[in-house]
Amino acid sequence: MEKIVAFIVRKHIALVAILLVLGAIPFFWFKPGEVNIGGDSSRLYFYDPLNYLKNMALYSVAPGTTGYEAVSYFFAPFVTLFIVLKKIFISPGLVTNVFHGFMLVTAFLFIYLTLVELLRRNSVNNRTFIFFAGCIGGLFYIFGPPVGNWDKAITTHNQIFLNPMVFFLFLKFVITDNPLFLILILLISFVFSTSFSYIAAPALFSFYPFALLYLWIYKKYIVKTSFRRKTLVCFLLMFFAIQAFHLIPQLSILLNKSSYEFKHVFTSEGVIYGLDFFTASSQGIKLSKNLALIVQIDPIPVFQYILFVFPIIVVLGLLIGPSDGPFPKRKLNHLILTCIFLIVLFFDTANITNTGFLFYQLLFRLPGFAMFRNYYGQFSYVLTFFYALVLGYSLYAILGVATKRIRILLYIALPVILVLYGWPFITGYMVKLPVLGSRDVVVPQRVDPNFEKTLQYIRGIPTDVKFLTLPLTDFGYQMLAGANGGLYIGPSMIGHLTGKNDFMGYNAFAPFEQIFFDRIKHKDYKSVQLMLSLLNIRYIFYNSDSYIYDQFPGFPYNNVRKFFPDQQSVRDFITRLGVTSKSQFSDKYHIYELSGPLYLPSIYAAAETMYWNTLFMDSMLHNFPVSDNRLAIYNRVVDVSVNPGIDALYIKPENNSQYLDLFRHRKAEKAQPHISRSLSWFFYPLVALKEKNDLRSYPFVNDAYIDRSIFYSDKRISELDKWKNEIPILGDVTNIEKSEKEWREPALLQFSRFKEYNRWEISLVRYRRIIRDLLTQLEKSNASKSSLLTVKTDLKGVLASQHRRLINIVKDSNRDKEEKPYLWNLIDTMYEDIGSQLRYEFPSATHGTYSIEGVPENALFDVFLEREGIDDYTTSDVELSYSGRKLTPRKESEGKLINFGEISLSTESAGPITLDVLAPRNLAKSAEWSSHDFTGENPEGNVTLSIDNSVDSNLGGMTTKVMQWRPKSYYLISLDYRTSSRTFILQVYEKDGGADWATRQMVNDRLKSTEWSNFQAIVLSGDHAQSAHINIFYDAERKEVENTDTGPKPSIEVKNVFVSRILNPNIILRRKKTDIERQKVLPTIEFQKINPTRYNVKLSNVKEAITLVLSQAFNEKWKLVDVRKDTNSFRGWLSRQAGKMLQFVTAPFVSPIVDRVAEEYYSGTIREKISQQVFLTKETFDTWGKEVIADNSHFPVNGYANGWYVRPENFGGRDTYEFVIEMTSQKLFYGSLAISLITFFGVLVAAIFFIINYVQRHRI
Amino acid sequence: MSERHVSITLLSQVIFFCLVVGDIFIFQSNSDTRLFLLAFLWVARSLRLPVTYKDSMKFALVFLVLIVMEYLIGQPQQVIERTALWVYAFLFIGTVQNIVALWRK
Repeated sequence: MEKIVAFIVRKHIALVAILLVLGAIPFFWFKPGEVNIGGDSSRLYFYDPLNYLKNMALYSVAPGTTGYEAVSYFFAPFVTLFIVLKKIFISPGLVTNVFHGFMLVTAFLFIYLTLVELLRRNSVNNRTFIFFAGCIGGLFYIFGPPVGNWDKAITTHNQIFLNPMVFFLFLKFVITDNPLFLILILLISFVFSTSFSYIAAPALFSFYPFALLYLWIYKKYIVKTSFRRKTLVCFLLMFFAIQAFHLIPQLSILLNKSSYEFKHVFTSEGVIYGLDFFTASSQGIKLSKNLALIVQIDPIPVFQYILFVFPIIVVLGLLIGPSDGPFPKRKLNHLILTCIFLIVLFFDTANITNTGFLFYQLLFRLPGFAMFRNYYGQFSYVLTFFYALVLGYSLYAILGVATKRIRILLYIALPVILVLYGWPFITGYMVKLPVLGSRDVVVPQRVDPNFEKTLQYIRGIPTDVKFLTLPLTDFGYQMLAGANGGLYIGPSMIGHLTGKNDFMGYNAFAPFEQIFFDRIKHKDYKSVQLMLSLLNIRYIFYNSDSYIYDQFPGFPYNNVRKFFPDQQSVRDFITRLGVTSKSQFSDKYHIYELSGPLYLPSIYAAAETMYWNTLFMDSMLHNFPVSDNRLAIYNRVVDVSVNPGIDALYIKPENNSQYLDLFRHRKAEKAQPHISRSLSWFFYPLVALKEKNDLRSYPFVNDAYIDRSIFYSDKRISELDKWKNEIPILGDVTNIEKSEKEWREPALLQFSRFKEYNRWEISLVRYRRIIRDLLTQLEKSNASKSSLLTVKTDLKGVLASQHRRLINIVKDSNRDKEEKPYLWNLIDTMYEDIGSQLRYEFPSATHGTYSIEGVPENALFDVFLEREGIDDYTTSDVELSYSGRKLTPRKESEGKLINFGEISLSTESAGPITLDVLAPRNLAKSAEWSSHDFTGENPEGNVTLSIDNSVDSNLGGMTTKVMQWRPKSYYLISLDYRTSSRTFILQVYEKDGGADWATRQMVNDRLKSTEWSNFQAIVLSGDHAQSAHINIFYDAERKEVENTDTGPKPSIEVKNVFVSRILNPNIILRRKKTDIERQKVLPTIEFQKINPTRYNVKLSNVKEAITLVLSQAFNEKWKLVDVRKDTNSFRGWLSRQAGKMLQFVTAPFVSPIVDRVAEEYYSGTIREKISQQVFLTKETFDTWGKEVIADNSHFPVNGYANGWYVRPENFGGRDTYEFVIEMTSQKLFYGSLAISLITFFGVLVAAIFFIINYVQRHRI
Repeated sequence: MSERHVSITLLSQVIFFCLVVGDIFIFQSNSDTRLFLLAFLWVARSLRLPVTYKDSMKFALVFLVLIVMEYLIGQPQQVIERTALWVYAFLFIGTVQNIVALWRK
């Protein structure tokens, strides 16, 4: 048998056979024509690489929603590769299969070659052993533990084959010093630049530091030569040059202090986010599973255990082979690899000793380390890589000493185990798993030819428009059923493949998502139309396929379904929106158009400019109808002195009423105390001293001090929890409050008193002291009334939970029958005392304060109150006042608003406006209580609930329904009660009106008082709340605590139940209109989109200053450039020369522009030329070194878009302007692309030279 | 190597095995101090006794097998993790010992 194996090995028959089989595997996964192109980042380049490149990879403006800045240049070479493949193989399915086959073959082959190279060099050649070790290493790498991730890896993570490939080439360079291998790495890195980009940073930095460390050690201690520094420096420079086209634009974003990326990498915000994510995700990662090659899931499938043979081989291999044997280099290499493997294992596990975990957490302080917050996913590929190498080495060592019988057993068993383990992957079962949240819908699909026609149609639309795709999803996914029943779920195909921006998700409307759906819910179609208009949405693509909606009962429609429960509701919405049907493809795909004045082109001059001190959408749309959609609405940030041409000023005062403080939560630190020192430990007093000093070290009361105090109070309880059965009880304390005043902490030398710590009562005393000090310090502090209220509300919740916990600790302990009631009594009385210390004045629910901020100029304002907010009251029930002056409602109130007259506001001081409700309505006036146990009303109207002691269960108590419960409203709940020294619970529940009828608990408070007491709470109803109930019941959990079997019956009397909606209406102030409203003279605008980063604009008949709006996401990098005027600086000169040079070099590749008007809007005052998608024109570089205009009056408008206040003097007083609106980050791309292309071709020539040289030298 | 040395070595191995097993199964808390102390003593043995990296590797192998057995019989995760920590520790110590041994030669 071994001779046969040796023959097969010698002739490479087996290797070729394995490669052929691996390459063929993906061809059996999908049926002909099927593809898997969905996912969060999609693989649409498999399907239509050319359009993907044109719309996605070449521009810095994303083809999604409002066109935000997104750098995806790294895709360019990679997608170009697919254009070539598509030319060759035609079918997307075939391209996919070929590429997947290539990935599998390459991943296996380079692990095999690496092992062969390493083993062959450092030992006597036994080709069969080396071949087998290499094959098992390679098969382990692709069919081993990460096979569970391969359904994704096969589609998106090129690191699976790039890691072994680049490692092998580096290894060859290390061994031979031949620069050809570095040149090959450069060429590969260019083609697969996606894997060397910013987005691939976790994959890069998890692998290459370890790989390069190993290779450096290998070179120094095994090969025993040193690197040529010049070669390495040259390689590094070339690497950065070849990757410049995406690294330079990305670096400019990364180093911009206002960018998200900067915050993520360099600020403490990023560190905290990374640490939080890391700490949460690390809980589930187990070292034992990583060691034994078991996937990190529970319960563990039985077949998982079959891989266990491989760690055994790894350890056996290390055991076998003496260190003083004939091949110390081989052994040393084996050990170095093992060391690297163990280090990677540490990074992939994190939970290796507490010290190791702390060290890992410290690493997050390094800039950018937060990228490893999801460390397990990122290091698992690296771990498998080194596992495969160590396994190969160990197997080789074992084969060297094993008997013939064992060798044959290994030859058969190991490949069989790996193939069996990888069987679901081999058969394609894993790529056909049902889509998350679906009713067994699978992914592989054949793209519907009718949808392809739809895309073709959209591509042919000649103007720059945006789309709204319906039905919407929560996360902006496109849902598209395949012709064969599969499903595409991923980013917008319309955006990525046609270049038209597309709104597809709930979040796509940010920051208006709430108001957008609120208006849909209120069937306020006019507001929805205006929003679509301002967002530049002209077309609606509606997919009426019931398959994509009905097969997904939850994800990805959870939120959207609240507004559109089914496809019919989507159809109704479209019908009522007043759109016209434009086209239809089959019975599924419909295109509708917002025609006429409803549509606003992407560039226009504002007919009206407005100022709002808040996000305009939430108040304006349904209250102030506009006659002309050409609006420019400034929000907060605009400096009125820079833009004096604002036509209308609106101020929305903010409700700052005290009751809202109850809903403001502190950002509390949620650290859990770690208890290791017993109270009986001799040095425990040092712990107590340390805590005391720690709390004293806070110079003033702040959040950190409050958190620390809560932390130590939690620690006292945790100590009692941990040693609840061991800590002795004194048994003679009647009241913790009293003991707390008497007991003193033992001094450090009072050894005889140290044991006092080890007492239940003393722990409670120490707990009480912490809480007392905290409350005393709070009262003493100069915190505002509102923040004190917020803190006390938070504390109330914390104390209630600690109270419950302490009661349960005693209950769960094995204390005897006398000790438990004793402790419960101490705890209850202690919390009663704490409660009286915590008591605070309950805020008024009938008095509201509205502060006025952001008044840009002194003026007279009309005061409007939104009628919707007080619709169950009349105007005589409420009173508005400003500066002590009562405002009276006027009869001529406008529509949905009530006019309360005018007030004068100045920029220096304004407000507040107060709102008083004169006669609050009691919604519980006619409330009836229902109960099995309730004994009825007495003559005074008191309701009494009495519990029968014989019933031994959690009783239902008594319940009443609150009438007219509304969503998103504040309610005051108040009642008087008296109990029979027993504890009752008061809960308030509300029910959603949504499809799921979710129930939410809003109040859960204890009622216990033998005297008449008052209970008050203010609650905020949920977004979809429909009804609410008040439920009072005996706390059956305390049956044992309160010993109800022998004591008095639990009973409670309730009276004066009062539930009232707290009025919180919107108040809007509008600057009074002047008597003479001047009509604006707007210029004629002609514009053309050249590509997503450039618009050519011509304004004629300009008579006055205008606000020019570009309906793309606001970005400071959008600039108005006057191409006729040179920038007067050296940098400008340099830029012009570079532009001229690039214009000359690119002249043969420029595309012509179709210069024809496509459509006219607003009676021909806005003309749009045919929209282009051209990367290089003869004018591409004509803005380089040219003057940027109106840059200091560039503001965000309409909540998202770009607005420029342009004066005639910006253009030298001419009445016709021609300029370019350009995204300047694109310039950086053109420049850096030139560097990369020059380097690439240079490296290519060098590679050809080296190969020819190599061939000649070796006479191949 | 004298017979006495062999006996002491064997005895020390038995004692260490018992200590590690005790650390895994008896102590409820996961203590780094205990682990580092025992690991240090394990390494320190080589100063006086003729022990090699193979002892560490053998221990790693035994506890590695124990991990799977623990999973199969449903031991608490804490116990399994503690066993895994010892496997990691023995593997690491064994590898370093082996490198040092090679280095010396």
